[in-house]
Amino acid sequence: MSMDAVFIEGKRKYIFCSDEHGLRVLSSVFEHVRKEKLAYEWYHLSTKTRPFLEDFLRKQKMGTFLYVVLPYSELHIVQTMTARIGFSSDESQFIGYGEKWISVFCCRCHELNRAEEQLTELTCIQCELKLEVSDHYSELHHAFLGYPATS
Amino acid sequence: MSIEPNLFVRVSSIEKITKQVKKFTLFKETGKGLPRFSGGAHVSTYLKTPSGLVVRQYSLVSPPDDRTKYEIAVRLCEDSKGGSLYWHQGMKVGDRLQISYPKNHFSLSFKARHHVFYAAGIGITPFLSMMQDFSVNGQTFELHYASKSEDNCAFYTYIKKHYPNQSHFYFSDQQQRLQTTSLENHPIGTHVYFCGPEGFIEQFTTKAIELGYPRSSVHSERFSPPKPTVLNTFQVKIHNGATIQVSHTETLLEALHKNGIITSYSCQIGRCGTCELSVLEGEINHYDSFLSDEQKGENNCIIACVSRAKSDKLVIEVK
Repeated sequence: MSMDAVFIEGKRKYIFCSDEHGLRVLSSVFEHVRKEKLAYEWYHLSTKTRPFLEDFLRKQKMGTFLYVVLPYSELHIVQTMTARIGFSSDESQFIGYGEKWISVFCCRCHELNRAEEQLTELTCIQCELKLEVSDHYSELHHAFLGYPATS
Repeated sequence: MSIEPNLFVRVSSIEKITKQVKKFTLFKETGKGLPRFSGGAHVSTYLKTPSGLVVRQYSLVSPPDDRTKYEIAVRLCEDSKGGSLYWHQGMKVGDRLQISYPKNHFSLSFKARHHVFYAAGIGITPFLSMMQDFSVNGQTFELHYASKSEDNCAFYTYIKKHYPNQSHFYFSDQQQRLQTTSLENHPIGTHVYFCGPEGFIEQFTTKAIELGYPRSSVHSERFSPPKPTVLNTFQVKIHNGATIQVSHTETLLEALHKNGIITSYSCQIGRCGTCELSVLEGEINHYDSFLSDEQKGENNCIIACVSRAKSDKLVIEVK
């Protein structure tokens, strides 16, 4: 997941999908697309437009490139949705902002615990086991595995 | 020419399915069933012809789960150097031959949400087993199949019967043409697969990339090696000091073998990468579809079955 939007050439259409904050993040790429007179579409994400995003993305054709800018807390949901639709990592860029949270999978009770990114230890909210955050990441759970803390 | 680990099979039936195409059914001589394969797989066949051993690759057209037999379809080429000619004129029911284990350089993508097959002529063959795989796992697909005429269209009746809603035929004698514009309409998540003559593959691949398809969503299978744009004579120095000449009529791989330098190889159409050799000096004209653009740019390895020297001399390493 990159921090800056990077223009990817050779696509027949570009989609910019973001909230208000994302307008600024995507401005340089958007200006480039406009200057080059390439086809594009903005999808402004709000509570009103959010339910229609999946339908909108499903209608896109091959050759489309997607940029998404959202708070980290919402980004993963959209990322999962676009992967389900069929956007590959070669056809999309996701940029997160704001406070970054991670999920920690409890090795004992399998509860997903929300934690700040920098946190190395925490107590499982369900079984109260003291967990150490490992670098073992699960794509399935979108979480890092938490082992019993040794300290 | 050496033979890789293989299976002994016999021909149990030969069926003429069009004027130019025959289907051969092969069964294993002894022991357990044949190995299962995945959609798009092929086998190398080793034919002991009067002019020597001829190795040719053919897609398996039988259902991948059927371990009792393999089926291949062979089109008689007008300029056959012995492969298809031998299959059509020399092969008889009951004949015994060696084939390789199934190999697959044209497998279905697990990431695709929808698959679209583009076939021209005998290029239909790998798609038959792919479509059979789908009837088991239920994924969506469509087939666009170009042929000279309905009579010349191999497996036409079979495809029409089993995949009536997914198949589209284009017969040139009826002024129907399969156009690259068809690529404009595929939904996001589509993977496209091309099989047919070199020009057909090139035309469709170029169009797909122009439209912005990622390279990872575009797949192709050639049944003959790509034609080099420059057929030059060049010298190859082996890192141990030996020097050999590669004439314009032979490949680097053939020249090495002729001179007793036996290196590994398999597909001989620049697809599998088995014959890759390190290049220490000299420039390369790459004709393979194995190395990435980045690897080709590094100019430090060569796929010996198809690629050639750009410079007059290459220094290669043979381990």
